[in-house]
Amino acid sequence: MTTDSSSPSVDAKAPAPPVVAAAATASRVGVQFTGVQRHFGTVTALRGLDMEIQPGELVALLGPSGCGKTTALRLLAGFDRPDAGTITVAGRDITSVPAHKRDMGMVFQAYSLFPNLTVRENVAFGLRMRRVSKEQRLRRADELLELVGLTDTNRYPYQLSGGQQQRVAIARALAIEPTVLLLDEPLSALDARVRLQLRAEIRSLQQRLGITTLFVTHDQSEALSIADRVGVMNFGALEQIDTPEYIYHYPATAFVAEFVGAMNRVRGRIAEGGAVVVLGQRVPLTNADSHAPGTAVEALLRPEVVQAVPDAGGPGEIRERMFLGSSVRLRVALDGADDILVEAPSPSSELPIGARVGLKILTDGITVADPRTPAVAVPEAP
Amino acid sequence: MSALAKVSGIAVRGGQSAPKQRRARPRAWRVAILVFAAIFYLLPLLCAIKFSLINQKGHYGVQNYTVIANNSTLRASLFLSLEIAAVTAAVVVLLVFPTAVLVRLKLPKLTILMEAITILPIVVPPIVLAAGLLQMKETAPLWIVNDFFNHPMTILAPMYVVLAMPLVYRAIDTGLRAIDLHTLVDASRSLGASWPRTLLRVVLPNVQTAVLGGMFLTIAMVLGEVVIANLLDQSTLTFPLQMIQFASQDNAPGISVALTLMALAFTFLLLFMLTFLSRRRGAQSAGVI
Repeated sequence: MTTDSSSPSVDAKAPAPPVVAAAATASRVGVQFTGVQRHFGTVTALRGLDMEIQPGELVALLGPSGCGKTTALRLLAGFDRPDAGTITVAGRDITSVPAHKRDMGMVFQAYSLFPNLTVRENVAFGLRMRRVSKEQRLRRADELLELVGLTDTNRYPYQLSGGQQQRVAIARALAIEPTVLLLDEPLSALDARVRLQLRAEIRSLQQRLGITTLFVTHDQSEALSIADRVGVMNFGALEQIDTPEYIYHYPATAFVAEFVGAMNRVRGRIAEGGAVVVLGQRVPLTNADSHAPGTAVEALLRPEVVQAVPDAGGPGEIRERMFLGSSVRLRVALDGADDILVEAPSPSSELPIGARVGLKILTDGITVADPRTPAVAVPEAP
Repeated sequence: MSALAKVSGIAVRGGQSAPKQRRARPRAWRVAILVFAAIFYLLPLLCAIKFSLINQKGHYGVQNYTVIANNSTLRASLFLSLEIAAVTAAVVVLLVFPTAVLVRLKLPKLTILMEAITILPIVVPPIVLAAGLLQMKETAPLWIVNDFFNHPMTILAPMYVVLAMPLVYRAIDTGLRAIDLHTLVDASRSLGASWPRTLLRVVLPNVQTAVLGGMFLTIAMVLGEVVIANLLDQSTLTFPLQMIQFASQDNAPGISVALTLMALAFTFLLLFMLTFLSRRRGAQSAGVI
């Protein structure tokens, strides 16, 4: 039995090694998007995407519906062709390589198991296409199913829950020892509890196998919790790509700031020396280049970087108090200004509704937006 | 087992069975309708069966059926019709299945055009198609007449392909609408399957019932078509033409009825096969798509 020339990662002649050991010895590859553009009629889905995914890294693309994240993933998978630009994997230009010769494992948002095949046959399908012997492919399928925690392998997809189906889909994608793993919102159809569990499972598997992974989602908590780096996209452009912590604390643009996490908009004014004066305090700016001193702006402040302190003569009054478990979120009405949200660890926040408070800013860097910039429309969670 | 496996557990909850619900007694009027319908449909059939079992001497027996079995002309016409039906069904599926998939996947804007084109053979009467072909035959070169018009397979099968196209296209298109075609195809391609393999190993098995339905309808149509067969091929009698000839013979009405019943039984057999396969497919795909 010979191996298909288009599938260099699966050796049909050698005995199938244990999955994790095989993955550990597999070469990790990087992915590079260079000036990738895609237009659908008059709609621009991607306007010159430049992005690099390091070998073994998990990058999450985050953004609202229609921002181009799924288009980028489909271009990488080979389901679509870019109008301009190149995509390279391990330094090899794959822009024109058809999908079935790219060696990429993909897990879809919709349940994508083949209804006519059993769980085991589904997982072995990719190996069958590579002409791996029946004995080897079934053994590998069993190993992978064990890896994702499924043992009853002779069932049909309709006999499984949504979570189980997605775990089979993950095993199926991994069975071909893909160069890159592509995850297209694989958790969005699942209920909250299974989603959390499977999220952790995917991250654990990805780290154990060390496989380069692109994860597309519009759920910010999913992206922040699972990824090595998060890329935030808007209107076909990558606004920022960085570690989850950096994205959250130092957003490069107003869109990123407002799309990722809760955000207050508080009026302020640009000061000399790359700072902004807001709530009576002077704080360094993270995007100082775009504004001249004296310009009226809106400072973007996360609830947890604002502290409410009891002050009978303070500028704010607590109007609402929400207990969130580990923290308490307060809505503070400012005299002559909009309300502001403040979040504090729950044991330390004993302030009652109606109390007058002063506000302190606890961060060493603030992003500001033009006052005319509309607030970001964040899609509702599914 | 992973933590997730424990959460979403594959083990079937067992032990406790739901209390049995008492089956409602069917109402009298429903039973009456059922009995009436059964009489309406079954009585003529039973009469036909009884008639087919009376031989030429007026005794009961299976002589009419043995005559059919031993009649080489009848057998030949049946085999010819089955051959034409098989070729027609195969060709029409080979043409329509990839086309329907292509339209669904890549050219959805052509859906309306395809529906319009595939309805033409229904709108245009078969006799008009046959008359058009006969006109062509008059002016065609001799080799075309010899190689094409003078053989029942080459003249009838292409015509039946055209006639069967609306049936098969609609059956397959309905099947394709019932599955998540885009996702299944993308999944198959990402796993290394080429387009032909994707069509054969992923799409076809999941629209198998629709394809078989289209094929069975095609076979049934060919086994009952007389207008075109009579006009275009007067040298060889197909099975339905042979049945008509038997019916017109005064001395063999029982044989004609027996033939009709056999054709009906064959069609029923195809329908039962389709129903059986539909149930199997339904069980496999329930709740997935």
